[in-house]
Amino acid sequence: MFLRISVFLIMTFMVAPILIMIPLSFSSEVAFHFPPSGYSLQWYQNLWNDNQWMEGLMLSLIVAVSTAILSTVLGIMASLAVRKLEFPGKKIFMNLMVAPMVIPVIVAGIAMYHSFAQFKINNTIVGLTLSHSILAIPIVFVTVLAGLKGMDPNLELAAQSLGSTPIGTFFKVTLPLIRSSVISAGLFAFITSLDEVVVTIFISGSYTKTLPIVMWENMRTQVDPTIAAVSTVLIVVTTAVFLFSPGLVQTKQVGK
Amino acid sequence: MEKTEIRTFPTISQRHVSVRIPGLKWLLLVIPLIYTFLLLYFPIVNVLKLSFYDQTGFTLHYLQEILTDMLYLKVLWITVKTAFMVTVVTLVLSYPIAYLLVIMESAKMKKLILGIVMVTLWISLLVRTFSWSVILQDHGIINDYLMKLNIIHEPLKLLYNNTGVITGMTHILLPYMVLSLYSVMERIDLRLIQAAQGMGARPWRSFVQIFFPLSLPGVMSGSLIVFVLGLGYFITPALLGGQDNMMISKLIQQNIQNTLNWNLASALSIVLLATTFLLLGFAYWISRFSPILKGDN
Repeated sequence: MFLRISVFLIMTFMVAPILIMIPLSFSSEVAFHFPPSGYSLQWYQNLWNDNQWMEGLMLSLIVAVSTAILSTVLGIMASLAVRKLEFPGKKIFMNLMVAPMVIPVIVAGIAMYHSFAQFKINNTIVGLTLSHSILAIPIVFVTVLAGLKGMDPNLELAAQSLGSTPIGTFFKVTLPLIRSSVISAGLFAFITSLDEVVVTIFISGSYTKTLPIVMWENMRTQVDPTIAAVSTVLIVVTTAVFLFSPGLVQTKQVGK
Repeated sequence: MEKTEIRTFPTISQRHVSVRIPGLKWLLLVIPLIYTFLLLYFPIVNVLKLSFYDQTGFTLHYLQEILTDMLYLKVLWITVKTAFMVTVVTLVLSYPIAYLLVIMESAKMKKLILGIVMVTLWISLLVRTFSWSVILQDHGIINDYLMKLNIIHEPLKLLYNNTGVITGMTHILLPYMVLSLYSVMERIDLRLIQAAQGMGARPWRSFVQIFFPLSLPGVMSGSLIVFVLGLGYFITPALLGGQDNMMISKLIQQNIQNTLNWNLASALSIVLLATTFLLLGFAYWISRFSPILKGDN
């Protein structure tokens, strides 16, 4: 019983700070009191009418979708390489693919910022997408690899022995079989990019402020209650992605 | 006759395919590899070079400065101290959750708890940090309630100090610890505990002598991942901590964006990266040589 009560309290500690944002975002006051003395939609109106927030949101969505597509393709390739090919140093290859999960994000951030400067892609959507994809590929790789492990390889052999080309086999047999892990991987990549801030602090510039950058800058200067509305939107989106994601794959996203 | 025909059929078609597109499959390996090297590994090498080379050529000046100047040593110390404290707190808070998950019978509750852990893991770091800043402020939720209940008369200082940083980081890193612990505990054979209790061991004793030692690989891997991640934290300490809570990541960022001292930032990055990989290497080494910590129960 003692165990159950302590777990309940710890779970409350985990959930309360997230749930508390929702009533606060509907507050009619400028200062945060809980529970709010009155309710209104003014912060959502602010979010909708203020260009800095809406532009940040649109940019974030564009970058997150591109990141999800790019990193899903590359992550699937890498996981297929591990699964289908025999080559020396496979372990090293796998470590190189997942290492961005443990490399301190700040180091990855300044390294990309430094190199991207030579190609003049800092402060562009391309630069943001490329840098976010580096952080998302490991997640896709791990998720899809887990999906491939649960697949019966004989089905592919059967397809090939019936005359299918390797590429045809992939699209007609393998991909449908691992579909749910591919969708989860893509969604994880999407959220990773949507929430990325450390690398983005360097790569983004005055023309490319993603939503997290607008939040970060606002939090450091003054506390604009609009952040509570933005937070609620993000909480709802993330939770929705989870509820619709096929199968809760245990992928650990690492590094912030 | 028939048998040989069946057996040779796949080989023929495979050869046929490999003739049509020789070596194409190696692109699966080469493209992701080149991509990550171009975008991450070469850039990291290039930036780390700056800690040994400046306009004057080869120098160890920057590394020496970091490792001798009290100002930098203090930041390194705070970084290690904060990561360590966060690791201890997350471990203490996560162990009961993971333990309950393992011994619990209701599959529905199990799914609920794991679901909550997974969702909190993915909820925006900025959102969670922001929420803590609202809760811990001088006139935030905690202080408001404590003052209303007349427990305190002056607001407690919960923000812009160690308390703020550790609370925020613990909240964010907790799911990693729970999942690491759970993945190991899940494989512990609970019949061992039943057997011990059947032979007269009290529940507490069977936990301490059997369950806990078997869960050590999870304690090890969870603590390590939380510590390593904690070392590199940037956003949460910057928003919830004060001037005395500056961690190495923040110092790196300041050197790049404020003082434009790339050489020093690079030297700090080497220290951070080297510590991270030494710890990971150490964990790998231990897991190879120590049977208890090996992780395959």
